[in-house]
Amino acid sequence: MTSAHIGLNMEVLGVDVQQVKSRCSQCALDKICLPVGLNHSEMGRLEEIIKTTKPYQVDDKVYEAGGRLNNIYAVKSGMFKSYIIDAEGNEHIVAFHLPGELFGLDAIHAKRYITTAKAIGTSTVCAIEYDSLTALSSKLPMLQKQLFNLMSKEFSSAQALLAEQSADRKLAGFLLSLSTRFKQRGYSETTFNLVMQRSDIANNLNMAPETVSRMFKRLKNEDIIELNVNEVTIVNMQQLQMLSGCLSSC
Amino acid sequence: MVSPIHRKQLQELIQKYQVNGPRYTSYPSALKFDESFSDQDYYAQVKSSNQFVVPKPLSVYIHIPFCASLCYYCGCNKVVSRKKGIANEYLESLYKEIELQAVLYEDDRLLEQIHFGGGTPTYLTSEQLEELLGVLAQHFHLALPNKLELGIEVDPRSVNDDTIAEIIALGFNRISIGVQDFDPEVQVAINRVQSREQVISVVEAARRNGVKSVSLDLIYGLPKQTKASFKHTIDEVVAIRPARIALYHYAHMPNQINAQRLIDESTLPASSEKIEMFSETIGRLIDAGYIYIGMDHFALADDSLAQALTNGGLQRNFQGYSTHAECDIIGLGVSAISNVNQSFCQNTKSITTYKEMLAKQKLPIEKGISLNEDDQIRAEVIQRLMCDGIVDYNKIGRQYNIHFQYYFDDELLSLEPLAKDDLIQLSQTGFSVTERGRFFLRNIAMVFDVYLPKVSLQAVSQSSYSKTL
Repeated sequence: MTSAHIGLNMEVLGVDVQQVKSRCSQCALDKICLPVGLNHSEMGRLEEIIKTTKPYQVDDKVYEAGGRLNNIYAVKSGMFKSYIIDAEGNEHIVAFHLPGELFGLDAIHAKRYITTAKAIGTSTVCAIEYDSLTALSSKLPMLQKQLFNLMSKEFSSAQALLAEQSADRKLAGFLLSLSTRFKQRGYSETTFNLVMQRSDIANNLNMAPETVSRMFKRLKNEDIIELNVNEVTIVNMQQLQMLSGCLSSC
Repeated sequence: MVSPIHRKQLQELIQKYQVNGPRYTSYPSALKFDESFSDQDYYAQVKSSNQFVVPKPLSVYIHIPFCASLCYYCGCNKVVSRKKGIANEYLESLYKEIELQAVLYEDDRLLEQIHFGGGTPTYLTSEQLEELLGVLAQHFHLALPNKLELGIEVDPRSVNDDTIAEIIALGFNRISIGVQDFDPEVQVAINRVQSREQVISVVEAARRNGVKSVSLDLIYGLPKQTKASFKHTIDEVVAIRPARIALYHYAHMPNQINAQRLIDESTLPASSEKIEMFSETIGRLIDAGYIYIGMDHFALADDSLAQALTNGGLQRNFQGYSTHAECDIIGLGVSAISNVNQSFCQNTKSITTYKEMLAKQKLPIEKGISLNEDDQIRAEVIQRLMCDGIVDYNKIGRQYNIHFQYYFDDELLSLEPLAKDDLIQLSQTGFSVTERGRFFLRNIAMVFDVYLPKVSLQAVSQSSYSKTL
């Protein structure tokens, strides 16, 4: 299903109208998304190549693997996941994308998307036309710098997952990564909702869903986290960092 | 001790707050269940429930709809029959249902609670109960015996010392006994004649076999009951000293419940007498060392229910109050209600339809409701105040991404008169139910029930809900 299949829900349309009006200069994510460091007129030029789309509902696809690169995307609200499908047809979730994060960058080399991106809950994005972005970033050094920054972040978080690690270490790292990213976005770094399904977390961390639950229970029993349905509260941040094998701010 | 002055005040408040309303064993109440809810809706809810980072454990309720004789007050779904073999046929369908349900749930979801209700679960023989538990164990992953709560409602007329020993040997560790009233005249009027000795022998057999948690169920407002006769019943109950007591109100609704037409309305106690009966019983039970848990339930101070009231961890569901961690509840058998993820649904009440649908490998769901976000928020508020007696604006606000005081501005205004009567205490960050307020939980919950007509509480009393007290 693509975004074109979204029904004409008046409530959704109401949200959509607001989205169309909103601009980088008015967006709460301007300090972490593309416009970091841009002055007013530069931001205006960036706004010209950005389109907001209708909200995506659960499981709506933004693009599919193999599709031609037209846009890269910045999450405006909600959450998306991107995954590859292997030769056996199995999904492998590469990343979850939070507000202010870019996705679709994997298509830059081949000019085709390698991953498929799907909304996890009701979510919105800004679509940025890729050709115009490259043209503009060659003229605006601050934009180019921020684009590289964001790409590098994506790359380093993907690499962290490649390492062979124990299940509890992987889960600790996963929670810390979310904590850091939520903090950067002005949300609580200690209490946040896990909107992704446990099978998605399991898939992303390459472990069985039962293991995900077992690890969560262990963290809870050791008073490292509290768990209220899907709301996680990190009670002992230091312990969690120790468990992840990463004491510094990573 | 409850002082006489407090009793007087309580009685006045009970008089004042006597309105009809739901018992909030679910929100929205079962009256809101709709036939458009299909098995597909149920599958979707189960699928979501499997996807929590730590999915909830499972609880199973099994409805055994058979009774050997008809109790006139009873509004439960049942079939009165002494025909042998009728239960066996039913069990065959039940096994099919267990199989169809169990396969929907992920393997790591432990079944931690099994409760048998009816009808009369002890209509089944010990052999039939054993077979049924075996089928459950075959299809679900049962928690270890010390973590498994296994409860059954016992009709003292259908068991003897041996049956109780057999039932307990099967692993049952919670027994509730339908007493209703010890008075012989009342028993004749409701067609449920059972001696005090029969009840005591069941309690003693249970205790002898190691089951300490015995609950006695009582009903006030029955025909021929008087303040004096009910006081006598309560004295006898207190002497037996069960760990838990459920004190239900008899709702006379002969238009909806056929059996109740057999009750002579002129013998029902007057409303004022029922109120006195209720408030005096409360005083008597509290004086005897029972803690009022909420709604219909009392427990001794050392019982886990009373401890959960002080320490948190109380849950409310179709079986009343429970100390068990929140579970997804699977209802099996005719008219059984499931509560999975954000939904409620109920099986068909007809045994014939039940059998036919299962023969076609179809879940026998008749109606239900998927909770929208507003339902979920209100259900959480009602659950918190029924169980913890505390509603924390920030906590619920964060959980559902709302500003509690804006979202519930009308409701918070409606709470003010209740605060004046000292039923709740309002603060900047939330409100809590006072000690006396616990007797009026239903009235407090009704403020948050969007499905009740707000304009007139009189209109509610015309509906098919039973009285609050």
